[in-house]
Amino acid sequence: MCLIHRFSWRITYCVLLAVALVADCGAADGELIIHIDRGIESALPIAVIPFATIGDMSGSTDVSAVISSDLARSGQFAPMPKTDLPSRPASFSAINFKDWRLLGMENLVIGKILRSPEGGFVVEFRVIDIYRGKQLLGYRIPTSADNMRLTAHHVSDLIYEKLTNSKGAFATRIAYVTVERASKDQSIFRLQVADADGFDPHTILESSQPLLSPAWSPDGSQLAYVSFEDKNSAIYLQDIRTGRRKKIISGDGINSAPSFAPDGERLAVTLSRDGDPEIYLYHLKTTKLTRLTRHPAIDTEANWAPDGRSIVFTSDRGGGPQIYRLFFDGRAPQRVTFNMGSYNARARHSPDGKKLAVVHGGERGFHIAILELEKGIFEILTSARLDESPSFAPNGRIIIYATMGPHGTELAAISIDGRLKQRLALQTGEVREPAWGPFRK
Amino acid sequence: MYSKRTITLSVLLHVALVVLLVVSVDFAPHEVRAGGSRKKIVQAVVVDNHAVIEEVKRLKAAEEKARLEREQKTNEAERKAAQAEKKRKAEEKRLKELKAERARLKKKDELARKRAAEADKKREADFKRLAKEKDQREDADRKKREAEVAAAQRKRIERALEDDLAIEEAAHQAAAEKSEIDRYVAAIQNRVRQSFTILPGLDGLSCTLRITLIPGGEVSQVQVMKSSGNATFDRQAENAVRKSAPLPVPADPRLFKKMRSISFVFDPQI
Repeated sequence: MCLIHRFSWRITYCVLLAVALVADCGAADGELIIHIDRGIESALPIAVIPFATIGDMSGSTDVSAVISSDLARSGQFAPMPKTDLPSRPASFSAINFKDWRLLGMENLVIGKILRSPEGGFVVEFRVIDIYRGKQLLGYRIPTSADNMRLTAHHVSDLIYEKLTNSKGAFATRIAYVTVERASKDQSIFRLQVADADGFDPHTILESSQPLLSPAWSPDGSQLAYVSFEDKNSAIYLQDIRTGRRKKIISGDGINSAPSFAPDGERLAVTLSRDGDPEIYLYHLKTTKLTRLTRHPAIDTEANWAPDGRSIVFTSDRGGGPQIYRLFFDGRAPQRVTFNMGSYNARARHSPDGKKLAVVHGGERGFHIAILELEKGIFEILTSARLDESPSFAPNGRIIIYATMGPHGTELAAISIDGRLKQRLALQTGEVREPAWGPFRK
Repeated sequence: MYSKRTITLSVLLHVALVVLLVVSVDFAPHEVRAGGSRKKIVQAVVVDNHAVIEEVKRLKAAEEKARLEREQKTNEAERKAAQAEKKRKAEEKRLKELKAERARLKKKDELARKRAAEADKKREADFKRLAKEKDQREDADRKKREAEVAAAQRKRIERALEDDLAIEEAAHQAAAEKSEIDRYVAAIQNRVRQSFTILPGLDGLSCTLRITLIPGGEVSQVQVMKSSGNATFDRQAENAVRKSAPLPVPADPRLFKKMRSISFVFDPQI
């Protein structure tokens, strides 16, 4: 009797205690609550197992290596080095989940490359969630030997999209200009288009005279650029697939810095035909020019906002070069870089239009910086001596730019949080003015 | 072949036929006799034969009447005598029966009286016995009640003392348990924080998971109570808990019970 009584009292007390605990945590459903107010800001651990191949695949693209390096370059993933892989399962049933969990590995990519009965190949892959022990994603993609690298990038995109919930930009392309010093007095300029990782470059134009400022059309089919082949600068438009090109703007003075409007029907350009460099609007269909800026200072390097309602440009009307924004509603241009140093130039919009990547001149050289337009937050991302020509990936996660390397300028990519910086495995010689193309349609 | 009825009918018909024949034979002598009576009427001198016949007739009738009256008187007396005898006998019988009945009733009555007396006696005895029992019972009940009240009072006093002890003890224990649980909570929080990968660009989100543990700290169930709206963030939160498993939990089942279900609020402040 006594015992039961005492026991019942304990229960009552436990309830009271539980209530007290809950009250401590500020919850009402009688449960222990633990707040996780911080974590580790880091990339997602992932292991890309080398894909099994059927038959001799030597000389062909190493698909899993491409995927692994794509994911690493995004800054969102930390692929396990190939040499550290504890096992190389080729199928779901071969995965030892316990082992991978001990390593803290969250995601596994397994796959194989098969010969297709119709000729060509089929790339089959799966993304495995190690902690839930299930498949997150699985695809079989028909391809050819020539397209193997592109297929690998597509796979990277699919993995990226599944695991980060945002669009991948691996199967996109970049354009840039290379300069080869052929002799003391002669250089060879090449306009090239390559995969986003810098592989598989194709020269679409070669010239003994400087080539500058490649700009993508919104549909990714054309490039506008500046060529000095006629001794004076002129703006050209070239179809990437056919190679057909057309001189669209030439004349006295500077003809430079083309930027496509989001509708693909207009270009913002810098022309000095009226005296000093000003921003003009060029209508591709009508070939009509509309002058946008009127200021005795230099106005140049226009870049269109993704919503098409404004452009930003570089102007030294305030003394040194700074970024201004011009809305097409009649308002005068507004300066957007205040108290952010004495040199900010060559602004490029992020795909969502909320950020600008700029070249920021500081005491120790030129760096890539990001300005958040609404919040006014300014952050310097890079720290090399001479970084230039930033360009956002179409998913806005990475900025590609040119930097001074040991053998001249080269291309580098940095994640927008500045966490991950990578040189692009590229080309010999000097590489300039990268421009990241749109998503492939 | 012939039914019984047919045979019976045939027999009856034959009998009827024979009877008819006999009767018809009987008729013949009557007719013959009729011829003979005519012979009796002889030639006589007419005297007042008629008056004589009437006188004879009258005499015969008176004689017959007297005889009949005598006979009647005799019969009447006989009948009356027989009747009286019968009546006497019946009366005798009735008296006899009455007597027997009276005796029987008397006997029955006596028996009933006897039985009633016995029953009364028994009832009285029973009543006395029951009354006694009732008294005894009530007495026992009263004693029991008194004992219970006394016991309850005793217990109340005991309980009050115990309660004081229990409260003190529970408070002590609660404090000990709370600090114990706090220790585990801190350990879990620390571990999950370290396993929680916040992907670049996914800051400013929050989600709530409810985790069910099994003894030993392994995760048996994860429920997303409030999603961040971003599948990746939710998955990373879940992974943080799963990667931390087994979570540090008390071995004491009573303490573990309090930690069996935990809500994790992932709300990283960057």
